[in-house]
Order: sequence, then C-alpha cells, then structure tokens
Amino acid sequence: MSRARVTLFTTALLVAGVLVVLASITLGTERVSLYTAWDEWQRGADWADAPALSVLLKLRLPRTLASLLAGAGLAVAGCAFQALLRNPLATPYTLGVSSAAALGAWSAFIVADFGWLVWAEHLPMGQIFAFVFAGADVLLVWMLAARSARSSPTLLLLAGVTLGMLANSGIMFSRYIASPTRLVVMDRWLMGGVDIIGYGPVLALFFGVVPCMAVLILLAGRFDQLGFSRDLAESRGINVARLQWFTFLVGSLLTAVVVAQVGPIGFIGLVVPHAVRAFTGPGHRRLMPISMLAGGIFLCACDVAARLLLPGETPIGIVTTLIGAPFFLYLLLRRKFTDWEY
Amino acid sequence: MTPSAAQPGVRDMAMLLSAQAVSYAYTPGVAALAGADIQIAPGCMTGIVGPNGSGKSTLLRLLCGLLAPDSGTITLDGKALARIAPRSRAQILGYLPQAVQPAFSLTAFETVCLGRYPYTGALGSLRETDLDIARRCMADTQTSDLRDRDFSTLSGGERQRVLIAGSLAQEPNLLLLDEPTAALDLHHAREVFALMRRLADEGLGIAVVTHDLNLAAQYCDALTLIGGDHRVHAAGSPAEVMTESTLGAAYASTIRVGKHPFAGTPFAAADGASR
Repeated sequence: MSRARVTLFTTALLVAGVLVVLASITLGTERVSLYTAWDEWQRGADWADAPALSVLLKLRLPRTLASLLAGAGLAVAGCAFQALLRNPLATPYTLGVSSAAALGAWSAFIVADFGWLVWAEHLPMGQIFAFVFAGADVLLVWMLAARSARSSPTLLLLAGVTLGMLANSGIMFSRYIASPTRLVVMDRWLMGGVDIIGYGPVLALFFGVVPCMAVLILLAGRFDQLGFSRDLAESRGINVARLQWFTFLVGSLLTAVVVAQVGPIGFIGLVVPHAVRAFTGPGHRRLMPISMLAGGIFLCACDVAARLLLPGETPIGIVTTLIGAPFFLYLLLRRKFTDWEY
Repeated sequence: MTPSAAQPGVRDMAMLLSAQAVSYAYTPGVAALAGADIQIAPGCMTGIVGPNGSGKSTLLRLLCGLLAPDSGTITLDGKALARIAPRSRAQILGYLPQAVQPAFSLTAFETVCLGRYPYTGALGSLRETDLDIARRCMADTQTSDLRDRDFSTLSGGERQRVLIAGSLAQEPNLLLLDEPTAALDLHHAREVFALMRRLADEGLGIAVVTHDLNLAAQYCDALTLIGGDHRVHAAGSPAEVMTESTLGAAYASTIRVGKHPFAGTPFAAADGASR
C-alpha cells in the first residue's frame, strides 16, 4: 500500500478520534457544555457547585479513557492472536478467550461470596482469575493447533467456540449459585460496558494494557515473518516457539485485564484489524499501531452510539456484537477463507 | 548481478557447510536419516535426490539448523552450526522451505524485503540500503515487474522466483532449497534450475532437494543420493551417481539410465509396464 494512502487514513483516523472523544465527553443522558465546565473550573467551585465539571471529570472522562484503552488493547490483541495462529479469524472473542476471562473474573466474585480465599481479598483477584482462565483457554486452543500439523482454521475456530461455550456454561452455573443481588450486577457486567465511575478502573486498564500493547507492537516485524512462513521465520533467526509462547502470554494477559474491567466486549479484535488491513496492507509494523488507534476510537464511537441511538445506557457489548457478528459472517462466507490454513 | 557480486569480498569463498554422519529420528527408534555425510560449498550446486520419505527434507532442515541431529556433527565454516547465533547463521545460510503458504498476503516486494530480517534492528525497520538490496535481488531474478503484485496472485513459477529473490536478499553464502520445482511445469522447472545454476556460477553455494533427477543431472555439479533406507547411497558427479544399479538400489525398483536427448547428461526413467 502506498505511503500516501496510509498517511491519509491515519490523519482521517486522528480527526475522527478527536471528534469522537469530544462527543464522548459531552453527549449522553445529560449534555455537558465544555464552556460551563471550563467556567466552573475557573471559579474553582466545589464539586457540589459544579455539576457540569463533575459529570465531565467523574463520569465522562474516565468512561472515554476506558473505552479508548479497552478498544486499543482488544484490537492489538486481535492482531497478535491472528499472527500467532496464522489465522485471520482468530480473535480474543472467537477463540473463547473473552468468555474464559469473564468466567475467571466472575469466579473471583463467587469465591469472595462464599468467603473463600479471604487472605487474598486485597489482591486484584478478578484480574488474576481472568488471566488464569484466559491463559488456559489459549493454551488449549494452541495445543490443538500444534497437535495436528494440518489443523485447519475451521478446527481452530470450532475449538475456540467450543471452549467459549464451556466457559459460558460455567458462567451459567455461577449465576445459578450467585445471590440475587450479585446476579443483577453480574448480568449487567456480562453484557460488557464502559460505564465506569472514577479512575480506579482506568488506572488498572492503563497499567495493564499499555505495556502489553507496547511489547506486542515491538514484535510486529517478527509477526510478519511468522505470518509468511513459520519455517522461513525460524531459518531467518527467529525462535518461533519462544515468540509463540510469549505472544500467547502477553495476548492473554492483555485480554484478561480488559475483560476484568469492562466485561467481555466482542468482535473488536476482529473488525478493527480487518478494516485497517484494507488500508495499510497486512504488514504488522503499520497494521498494529494503526489498529491500536482505530480500536480505541471505534470502541469509543460505539459507546457514543450506544448512548445516543439506543434507549438509556445500552451496554456497549451489544453494539459491538451487532456490528461484529454480520461482519464475521461476511468474512466466513468470503471465498478466500478456504485458502487460509494453519 | 547478485548482491555479492556487487560487493566483492563480502562473500567468503571458504565458507563450507559440512555434515558428518548425521542421524535424526522424529519418533525415537524410527530413523528418518541415518549417518548422512554431505558438503555444501560456495560456487557449487549440489542436488539431493532420492525416493519419497527417504529423508531429503530432513537432511536440509538439519543443515540449516531447524533440527538438531541426534548424532553426528554439522559445521559451518569450521564452527558447530548449533553454536552460531541464529541471526548470524541466517546471514550466511538461506533456506527456502517446501510449499510456502503465507497466512496474510504481502506484495512481492514486501515478500522480498522479509529476507532482510537478519540485518534489521530491534524495531525491524528497513533502511534505504535494505530496500536497494531487495530491489537488486528482484532485478536479479527477473521479478521486478511483479513488485506490487499480491504474492497470492502469482503463478507457481513467479512465486518461486520471488521466494528465491527473498532468500537472496538475505545475502547468504549458501542457499538450501527444498523442492523449489515441485509444483512447476517442465518449462518453469527448467527456468528455476537455470537460475540456481547462474547463482552458483556467481559464487553462491546451493543445495537443492528435488525429485527431478534429470534436471538435477543437467544442472548440478554433484548429487547426493539418499535411499529408501534413509542412508546416503552415493555422492559424486551426476555421471557417477546416476547408474542403473545405484539408482535401482536406492529407489528399490528398476530404473533405466540413458542419455539426455540434447544435454548429453544421464537420463533416468522408472521401468515398468507402459501403454
């Protein structure tokens, strides 16, 4: 792809990003005027006297930052899993990683409800459980892929979907044994949402997502080699087994951090890299940074759309799935699909 | 011009890849290759031939360090191959596997640029000299016209030439190719052999695994014949290796050897009932 086209696309993306962020911090059930907020800031008023500023800083800004970080992280994880499994349909969602992480995060609550592991109550058990479950899922899918040398993308996806179903049945079981009050919180969380309050989740996302993304993007050149040919990559000096292990660990960690904070939001890792590839080509050194940018903006835009177009505070996971599922079907039905093999 | 010819002195003519008595088994007890010897030298084109499943590809994977031998030694320029850092090894030794199937479609030029990997830094960014070398390697393999074509849309012959260009971009002293003509018609297969011959004449050391005994006889300086028992049956010039008794034993069937109609080199064909 020509450099000019990539530059144009990136510029357009950045402009869209600024607009989306502005929309995200001002629009919603309650409109916030930036002027009013600025005024209140200037006056140095108390939170109670500054309704606009407090909505802006306590609700909208953290929510916007969370959607940017989560979207960016999921998109980069999608790119990494696709390179890892040499399969353009691999994503945290289609591989069942998101469901597994959700089960993990939820198990942590249940464990707490039952009064187990009390000694660990100060640890971020949600994130730890999410990571362990997500890691186990990727490991299983990957072992299946490595076991049969000729495993097709269909096999990998079916394995991922099956493990996802397994995780979902685990979630159903934990719903069955959860207390009614827990159940309400849980159901809402499982739909995926960035309607967080305060900066705790934002910081957790920031410190979990940013280093993982940076590490994965640094591996972009190696992903190009791996995607082209495993043997060629190895012969050119890449330790493929180590690269795969590392990517699998970091990708799972990244997904787990995101899911533990905002729930299992689907299809970002699929839709975004595919759309970006159309503009940048498949070279990961362009694809991954631009996907990061596009992923954050896309999720933020979905959140704005959910607030404006649908009644009330529609969970963002519903919006991304409404967009992502038809897109996934389109990719499945496209003739080229049969050309892909592990 | 090959990259080396453009930079005289860069390629060390003494660079020798040598395997002594190497054995390998994928499953313990089931030998894939038993006690093989081979030498690959710059400027020399060696054909590795033998029946299906005899261990030709295994030998090539051992030679480029993708597999470690169960016994025996492999040395590159006098040093144990396993002790050479992978990137340094890749700057000396190129490998082109059989039937490359990319998961993502790059352009021909991007494909060739991938060959520069052993020379790039941590970020993998390509400098102008890397791009120049890639362009030169495409010109050298007559693939410059394919520059912006999607790799997946290329014909079999074009693909192999682009892949060879990518291997040349690695600026190796020695290049190991695994059945580069397996999917090609007789015309394109000959073209690929002629290209390898020219590169060898320009100083590159080539080892090529092939099922085409006759093209190998026509273009290679030396042949190494591995038999169905996973052992090296013969090594030497095509005329020495391609005799009815040697081939017959290696392939465990009746092989007739005559003269190539116009090249004059040995010409082998499997005997049996024909219509």
